[in-house]
Amino acid sequence: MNAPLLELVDLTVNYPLRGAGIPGRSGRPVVHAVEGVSLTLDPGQIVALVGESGCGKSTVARAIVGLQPATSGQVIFDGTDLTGLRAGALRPYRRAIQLVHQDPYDALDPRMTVRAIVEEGLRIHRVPRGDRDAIVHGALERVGLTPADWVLGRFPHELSGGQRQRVAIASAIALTPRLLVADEPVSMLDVSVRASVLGLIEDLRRDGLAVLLITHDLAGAVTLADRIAVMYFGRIVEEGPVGEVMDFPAHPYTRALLSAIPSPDPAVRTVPDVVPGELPDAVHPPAGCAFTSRCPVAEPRCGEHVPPLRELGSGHRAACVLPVPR
Amino acid sequence: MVASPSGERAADNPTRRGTALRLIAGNRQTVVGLCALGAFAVVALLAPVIAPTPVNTQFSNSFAAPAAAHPLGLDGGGFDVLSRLIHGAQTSLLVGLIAALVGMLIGGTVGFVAGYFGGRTDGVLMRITDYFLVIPDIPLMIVAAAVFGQSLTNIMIVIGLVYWASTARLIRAQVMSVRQRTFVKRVEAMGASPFFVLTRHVVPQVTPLLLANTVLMVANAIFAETYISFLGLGDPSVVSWGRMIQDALDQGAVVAGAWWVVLPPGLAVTLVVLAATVAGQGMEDTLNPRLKVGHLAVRRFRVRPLHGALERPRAIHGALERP
Amino acid sequence: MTTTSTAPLLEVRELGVDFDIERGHLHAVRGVSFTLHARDRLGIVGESGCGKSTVVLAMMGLLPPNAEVSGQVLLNGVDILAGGDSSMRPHRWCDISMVFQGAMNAFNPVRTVGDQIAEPIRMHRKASRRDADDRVAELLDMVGIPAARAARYPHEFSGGMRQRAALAMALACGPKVLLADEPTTALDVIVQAEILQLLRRLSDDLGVALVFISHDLPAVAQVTERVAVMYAGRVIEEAPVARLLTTPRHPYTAALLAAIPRPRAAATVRSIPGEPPRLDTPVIGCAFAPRCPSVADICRITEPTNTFDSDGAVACHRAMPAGLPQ
Repeated sequence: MNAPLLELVDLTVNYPLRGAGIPGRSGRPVVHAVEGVSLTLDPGQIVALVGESGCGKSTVARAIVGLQPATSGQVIFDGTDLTGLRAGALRPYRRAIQLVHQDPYDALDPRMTVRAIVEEGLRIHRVPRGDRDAIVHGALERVGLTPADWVLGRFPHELSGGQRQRVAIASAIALTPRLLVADEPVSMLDVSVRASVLGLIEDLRRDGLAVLLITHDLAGAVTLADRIAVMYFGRIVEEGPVGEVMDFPAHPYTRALLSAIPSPDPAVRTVPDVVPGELPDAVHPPAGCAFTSRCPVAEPRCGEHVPPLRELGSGHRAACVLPVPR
Repeated sequence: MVASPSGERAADNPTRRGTALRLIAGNRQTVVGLCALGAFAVVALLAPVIAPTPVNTQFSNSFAAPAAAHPLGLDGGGFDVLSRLIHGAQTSLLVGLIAALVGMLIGGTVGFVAGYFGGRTDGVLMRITDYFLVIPDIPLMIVAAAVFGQSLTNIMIVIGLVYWASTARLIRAQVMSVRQRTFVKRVEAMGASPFFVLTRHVVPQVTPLLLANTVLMVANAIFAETYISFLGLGDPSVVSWGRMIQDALDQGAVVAGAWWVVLPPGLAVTLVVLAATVAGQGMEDTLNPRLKVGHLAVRRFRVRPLHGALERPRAIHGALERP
Repeated sequence: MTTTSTAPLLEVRELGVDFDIERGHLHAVRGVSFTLHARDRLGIVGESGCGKSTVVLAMMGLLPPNAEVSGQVLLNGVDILAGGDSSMRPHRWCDISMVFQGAMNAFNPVRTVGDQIAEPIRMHRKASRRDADDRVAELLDMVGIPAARAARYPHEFSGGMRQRAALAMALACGPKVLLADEPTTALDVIVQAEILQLLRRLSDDLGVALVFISHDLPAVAQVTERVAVMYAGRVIEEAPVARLLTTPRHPYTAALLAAIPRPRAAATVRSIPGEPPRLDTPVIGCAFAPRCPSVADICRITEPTNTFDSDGAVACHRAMPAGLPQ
């Protein structure tokens, strides 16, 4: 069996609460953004990391690409643990792992032409000058921005949101990465454009690229993911092949998410399967399952310990102590 | 989140290349201020040529009223006021410019380094900046003049040293804000070195604001030089406007009713400082949209009368007629 | 839609908005008309730049000084736009009020939420502090916020609760018409479902007529009875929501529906190629023609007029006949 391309082992990211506490003293309040997240990604696979805002999914993305140091745990890429590496040793991995950002309107330097933007990565990684032109052309055509010659001389403000996002993707694939981390790549785009950009990301899989798609849009994620991992309050609460998870959601939170997606059929009134409640305090996390305060089927034992991920068969796991309705 | 409409207007993103210049040129305030400054600069440059008399020529009748031969009359020492005014322009503007440049270099560097690297570097640099911010400027300049001597060079350096701190704060804030922008983070994630990011992304975004701030500093510097010279701490070997005012009072021009000795230098300083301030403020307003307050104005919309209630097909001819 | 013989509460006739900009004129809204009776719920759907936000801002008289408004907005038969700002002001908030886009982020951070909700009450009704506080408690109860929270500051509220508070503020003076501009866009899907429920309940209980603006067609379908679809400043289709979703007549509506991902549906999601037109050049023919899959020659020459049928309208030369399945 092939080794996974990316393996997150018990990844934990805490960061100190700004301004609180006395610097240098231990016991300074920390925000537990990500707690013990483990995830694997095989080459050519698309895994969706789904959750609502504040669940820690963007922090996971930043930790993978090195923008955020991990507090503990490992980020193993192609067999090498990236968490211990220093800046110099990390460099080749900054080429192999590329991040696509959420905001296409701020992701491109407004003072640079498309050509300069796409070429920039090549410049940073010292790709020979003679090769750059062909690579830039190729990247733009690959993302569907043709004729490439017309687009090369444009500035970002002359392009639509969807086009800008394609330029951002082109600048990423110009470096022939092996892993693309897409953090909410279409949430700021018009609905009519989203499908084509997601389709492009799925198409990149043909080039051997693996994709970690981070999103809060469950419905959108399902259209291209092979596996789906649902995050809540810094932990993965359910994980498995996308068909399995969608048809047989095992965790009450996944069921709540599915029930809350507005049905386009007006005869069906969407009522979220959740108890009105608030997220727990990220600085003082509860001892038990974090979803207890909003769970429609919570029992007293849910508050005792954080439930571990239980195997449910065929690669499907859920972190809930209650029996799964089938 | 809903996407913002494509085709954003120039004013929404003043950091686009070339737009900064176009926006500044479009701001009437800035243009007027810069033109006035330019006029003064030309006069200063051509001082030896256009001054009616060499600056050190002494005439016999002191406090002579303005006449054809001496359009601004003579001062108490018998010198031609107009000539002194023109030569004084050279001094004042030169000091203003160089002092502002000194301030910009120090303040800009401190601001860039503190803003980009953050952490302890930022902390240390900002404490130093704070010290310079709270030092009373005029007393420091007096002390410096007394200790280091009254030469023009010393004055320029001292003024720069006193005024760099506020620039540093402004640039630091701007650098920190640019640093958070997505395109900077993107390039950092790609593996760019801090130097690469600073020079290729941060500096181009922040430089227009730095220039605007420098223009404002010119105003401050000219005023400071005038003040120093007025106090008698200026370079005794050169003419400057501050010196002219000081001389006028020393020589008893006010008592003698010789307004042509006191008024011109004061007016000149006022006009130059005003021009520089107006230009600098205009540039800053344009480049830093958050400083604008136009959106706080009371909204008044215009209503057009209803033209025809029914929709009729809008057939467009002409352009689509086939030959 | 209620087919009562009572006079309409709100009538918008041929509303048009032009913006005077540096490079000419932006025709943001053209010929928008609709009618509302008490308790009616209308949705306005469209993508970015279609003019839907401009319509409601025009109705409230909150456009910037370079806007030129034409048409009429009749509230109980009186044109509130006719006299400019001064004729509009007495009606603002008391008869017609609005929840702005991003209202949940528009709270003053240094004042309590209760104070801010009380503000319009004290301003418009000249109420005493005690009366205003009573009213605030009443409003908070209506929107599902515990009364004790009135003394808290905005940063102590979650996004969903802030949006509820914004609703409470909009309802403070008992308006008859409520305009909600993208009220759920920035919220997580579960909170969104709760807010949609709340909007339905408020409209039923208070008898308020609701105009719900969004780019999210399924969310609109959950709340409204009729939907108007806007494109390039015009309403291109209007129909009861059930009919619109099952048998859309305008190709843009059909394409929009096809672009919505559904978690359990087998159909692939499709994008609409191209982008919306620039609004600063006059439209020749139909604005959607360059992107329309059923475009014909006439579409490029003549702009379609509204064809009315029993329960709606559509502006298309190639409209699907009413009643045929899609």
